[in-house]
Amino acid sequence: MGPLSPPKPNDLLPLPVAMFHILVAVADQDRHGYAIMQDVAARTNGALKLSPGTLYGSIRRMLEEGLIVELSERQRPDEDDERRRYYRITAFGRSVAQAEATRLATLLRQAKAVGLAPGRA
Amino acid sequence: MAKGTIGERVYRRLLRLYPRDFSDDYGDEMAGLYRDRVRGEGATSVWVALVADLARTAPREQVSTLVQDVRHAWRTWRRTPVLALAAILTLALGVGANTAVFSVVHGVLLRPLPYPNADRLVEVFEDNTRAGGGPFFRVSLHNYLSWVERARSFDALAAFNGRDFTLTEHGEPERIGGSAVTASLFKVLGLAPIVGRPLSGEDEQPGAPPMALLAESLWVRGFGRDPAVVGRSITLNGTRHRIVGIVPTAFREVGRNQIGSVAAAQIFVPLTMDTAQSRGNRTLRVVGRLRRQISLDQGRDEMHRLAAGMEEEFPATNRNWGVRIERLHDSMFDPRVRVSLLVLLGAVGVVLLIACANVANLVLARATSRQRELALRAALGARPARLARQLLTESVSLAMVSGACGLTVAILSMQALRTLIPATIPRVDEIGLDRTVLGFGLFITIACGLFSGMAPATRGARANLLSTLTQSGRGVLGSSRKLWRHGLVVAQTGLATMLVVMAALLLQSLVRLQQVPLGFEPSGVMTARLSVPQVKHPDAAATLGFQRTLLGSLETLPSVRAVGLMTSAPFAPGVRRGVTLRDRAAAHVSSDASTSAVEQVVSSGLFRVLGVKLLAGREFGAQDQLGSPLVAIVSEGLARRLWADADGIGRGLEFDGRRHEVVGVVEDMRGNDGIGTRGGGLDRDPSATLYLSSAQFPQNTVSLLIRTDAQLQAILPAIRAAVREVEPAQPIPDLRRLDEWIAESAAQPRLTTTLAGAFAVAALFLTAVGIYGVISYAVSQRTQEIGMRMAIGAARTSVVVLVLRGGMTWAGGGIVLGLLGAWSVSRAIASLLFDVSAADPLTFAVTALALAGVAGLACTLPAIRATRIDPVIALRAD
Repeated sequence: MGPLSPPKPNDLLPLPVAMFHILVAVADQDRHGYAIMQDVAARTNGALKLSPGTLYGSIRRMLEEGLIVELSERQRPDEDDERRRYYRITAFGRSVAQAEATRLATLLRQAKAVGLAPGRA
Repeated sequence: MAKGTIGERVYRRLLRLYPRDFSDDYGDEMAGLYRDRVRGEGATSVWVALVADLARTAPREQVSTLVQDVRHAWRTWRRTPVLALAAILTLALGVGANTAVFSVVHGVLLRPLPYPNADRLVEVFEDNTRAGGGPFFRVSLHNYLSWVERARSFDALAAFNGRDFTLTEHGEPERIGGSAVTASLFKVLGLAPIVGRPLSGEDEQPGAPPMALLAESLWVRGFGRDPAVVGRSITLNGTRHRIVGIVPTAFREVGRNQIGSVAAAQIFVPLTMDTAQSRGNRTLRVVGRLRRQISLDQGRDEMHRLAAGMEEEFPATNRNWGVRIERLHDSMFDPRVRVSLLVLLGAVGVVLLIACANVANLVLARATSRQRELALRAALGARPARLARQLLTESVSLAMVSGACGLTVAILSMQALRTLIPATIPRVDEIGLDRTVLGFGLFITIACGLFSGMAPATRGARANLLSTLTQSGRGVLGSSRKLWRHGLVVAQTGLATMLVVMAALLLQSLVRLQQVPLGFEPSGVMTARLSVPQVKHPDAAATLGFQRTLLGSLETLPSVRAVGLMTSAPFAPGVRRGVTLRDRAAAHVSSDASTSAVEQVVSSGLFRVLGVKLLAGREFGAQDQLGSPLVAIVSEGLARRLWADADGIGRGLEFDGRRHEVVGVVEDMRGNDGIGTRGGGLDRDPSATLYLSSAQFPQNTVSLLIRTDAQLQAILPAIRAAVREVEPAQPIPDLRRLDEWIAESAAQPRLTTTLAGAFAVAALFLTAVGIYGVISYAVSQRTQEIGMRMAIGAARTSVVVLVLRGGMTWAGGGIVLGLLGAWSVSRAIASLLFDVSAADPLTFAVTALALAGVAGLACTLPAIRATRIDPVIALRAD
């Protein structure tokens, strides 16, 4: 078996919806699971409520793929009293999220061009 | 962890539905999430969402872990491709062969018959054991009718017998096997015609208009599945028959293997209740459907009582005749077919076990060399259960690939088996890959994977980093692992020994079977079935005339040396009537001087055709005619049974109410003992036979026997032309060499022996490979020790002895256990053996020596390699 070539962001596209939301949630600040869930719910006006299985199933895969990292105890915010696990986006995760956003933007532009979405192309 | 609310504790428990890794990693987090959500949203709504979430994501995570494990398994297997390939091939052959043999066992033995409540179907025979005859005689019409009238255990009884039909519908006359059946057969089998109507009681009355039902296969083949065929008429044996219905294929099971053909019955006509015949004329097969709530034993008891009563009532025909009932599923084939199939299934299972042991050894050796990797993973936090799961996934996924390859092996071997299995075994054409067979294949595949992965998984998962990394990687072989390996050698050698003993016994039996004296000279004899068209030749004189003309014209053909007729050629299928006869003159000596014999009606030249020796008196000749005094010839065995001096010339034999003068005694002939549907067996002693003259008892359907110097192909056109000249509407006889019938009668033991032999060879080979593997490995583990011994002056021979002793001790133990095992199970195959004891000491001794030789060879290569160890290199290696 040859050496593994580093994955490219485009390899992971299209990103599952849950993963994309999680990346967006941790893009500006480190968050723990419940905070991610709440952030997603708030941004979607409650339309998307990540279930625990989906949330941690996604987190596990994202950790394996190197999209996010788990913070060590020392890196945790001091005010957290429940000793929860915090997640931070990686540089690779950021570029994957950007690639996905670009893909979605392109899609949206095409939809607008044929009148499937409001606004102008 | 007894913290939190009840709800949280329940939730934590439910989290175990996820893979262990996952719940260990995220259980606490998810429980925390649960607390947060309950605080925010209230318990009820949270729980509804959680249950849905569990149902959706737990299986997903399980599958995802499995996929990950399988991927990892493949990555690791690809690092050792030769080893993986060897393991896959070994298991694929094992799984494939097992699936194929199971498909036969399932198709022939296990699958129920295609009738509703088939377990209540029985076949009823007349049992002549007490008078020295067999237990499975056909039934006379009168006895059948008496049973129908008196027996209370049955919903219905039905009778049938085979008929040959000449169908002249599509130009060339065609001979088709069929059956005459009672109307009640439909009720017994629980089947209705696909089209048209079943038979009724009126159809059985003498004088009813001729009618027929067609089998589905004939309907499709000959009439293009046209429903309008019902009501039309076809010509059978020269008479117009109205078609009243089409019966489903399942009907054939009872009509199979009828007179003169091994093909299934395709035409069914009503069995006419011709009550003018004798009660001693036993020509019918009888099947019945037991009443609900009536057991086979209850039915048996009643029939035994009835038979005892009928012995009193009809002493002339029924004395010493009992009744025998068997389940239809059992009576359909020779009980030895069952034993053979089960023995083969056992044998091929043993081969698979040995193959599994080899694969287990490979996997174990590999796990040992991967000890560092496993220990490292354990040190990095992988739990033992996780590692065990990973190792098991490796062997099971390997087994699954083997199983897929094994499926190809199974399909190929099934095709081969279908052609190899003698046509006399019912339902062979229905053998195939159905859901049960596939399920069996999958089951043994997974079992193989688990079995071969079990030892590495339980041992490997306990890898201890410290001890592994501080040692050189050699010598870590724990004593339990060494024991396990050597245990595998013992088991393999033992199983192979058992298999070789069985195969050797079967082989000797087959050889002896083929050397048995037949009492006649089969080579150069052709046989065919011949039916005289009844319409053109309605009475005995006409039939006789037709047969004489035909024999006469065949005799004049060049290269034909002799021609004759008989009821059924030896070893060929066909009805051989059982008769009870007695010598009235001797009756005063003993009140019970009656004995039973097989009846063969033969033409005058028949004994010359077959080369049967005349021991006393004369053959049938021109003086024996219709109307002249009745004469008979007896076989030597019958003569000995009837008269103390075995000399019966001039004596009178009485049966069917008439006296026959004995004019000759001939040598005993094997193959006259065919029971009902089958030809004779080489393993059975010649049966007492009574020969009658075909000039005095002309028969419509007979075997034609021709002794010739020519090859079959060379003489066939001449015979066809001769037959056509005499009777243009006569179907061309299907000529076969008599040798072929004899070979066919031994086809089943030959197949059993061939397969058992092949399995034994496979077992031997796999065992040799297994021993070689274990001993090579042991030598490689002891390189340093052996190097040291040689450095301090050990001789090469002593190194060889050291290695050989290591291997042979275990192999020897296996051989001893194997011999004990073979001795205890060989009785199971006793019924398959002919002229060989199941505990034949010579066979056991030779097998033990052979196994020891093979084991010795397998140890010798590694032993020689051990002597080439260079002490300097061995000691420097570390």
